[in-house]
Amino acid sequence: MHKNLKIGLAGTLGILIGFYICIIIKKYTVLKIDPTISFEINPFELFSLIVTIILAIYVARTLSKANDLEKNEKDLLINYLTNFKNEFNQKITYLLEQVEFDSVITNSNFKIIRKKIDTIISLSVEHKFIEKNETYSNELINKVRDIWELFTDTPKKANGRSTAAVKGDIERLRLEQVNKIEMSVIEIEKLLFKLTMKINRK
Amino acid sequence: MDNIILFVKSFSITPGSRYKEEGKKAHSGEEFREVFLEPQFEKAEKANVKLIINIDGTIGYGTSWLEEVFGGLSRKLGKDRVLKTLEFISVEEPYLIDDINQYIKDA
Repeated sequence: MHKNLKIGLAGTLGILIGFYICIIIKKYTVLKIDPTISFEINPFELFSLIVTIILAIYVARTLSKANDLEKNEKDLLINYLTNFKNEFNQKITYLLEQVEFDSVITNSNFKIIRKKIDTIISLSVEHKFIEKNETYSNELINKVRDIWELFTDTPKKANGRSTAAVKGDIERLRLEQVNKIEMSVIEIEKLLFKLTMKINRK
Repeated sequence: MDNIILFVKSFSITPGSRYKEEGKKAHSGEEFREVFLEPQFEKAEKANVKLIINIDGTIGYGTSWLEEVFGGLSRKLGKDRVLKTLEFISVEEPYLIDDINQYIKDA
């Protein structure tokens, strides 16, 4: 009860203070509010307003949508290239660990690798991110083919029946091929980077 | 007579090594050339039609297999004869057609 009395008194005091402040402001200031509103229409301004609204809708809906679509396509393509790079490295590492390079496993893996890079480049051309005879993409296709040739035209590892001289020659040839393959892998990574940058700049 | 179509997959879906001596189940290029390709090639030449090789349907090729088959045929019969009669089809790996034509020319 005591608490409610306090709130009531504070409220009454607030209303009284507000009332007197209002009287004082009216008495000592020249601030007046006109109760009427003038409403005029300028046809040029109206036209300009409509054009602005249409432009705003066009930019927001059509252009933004087209930009978003292009950005999504670009991101997707770059993602494909990144995935290709990872998968390629993974497959090459696995194949280099095999005793026989020229095997059905190598053929099968390279069918996938070559098909994949061919598809990514075709998509990039189709969606106009690169030209049809773009240097990096051509080099990339050629380098992948070179690695395929190096893998599938490599001498078999020397077996127990080979003479020491033959074993030595085969091992040396194989080492040379491995070295060439690893150098080509570095070149491919460089080309993939350049191609990604080119697509990114579009 | 219509053109003759030869499917590599009817020989093997896992074309393997270059030479027959590399194993009985090697599905070698040499075996394919001697048993499948050369008889069909002669037939096509006699009938003056194309021999169309469909290279789709296998799990993949190695350079040595392709070179032995088509480079080998070119070494044996001459590249002009081979290029005149052979044609290739591939939906799966169209880029292989350029590789094969190069092996024929380089042989």
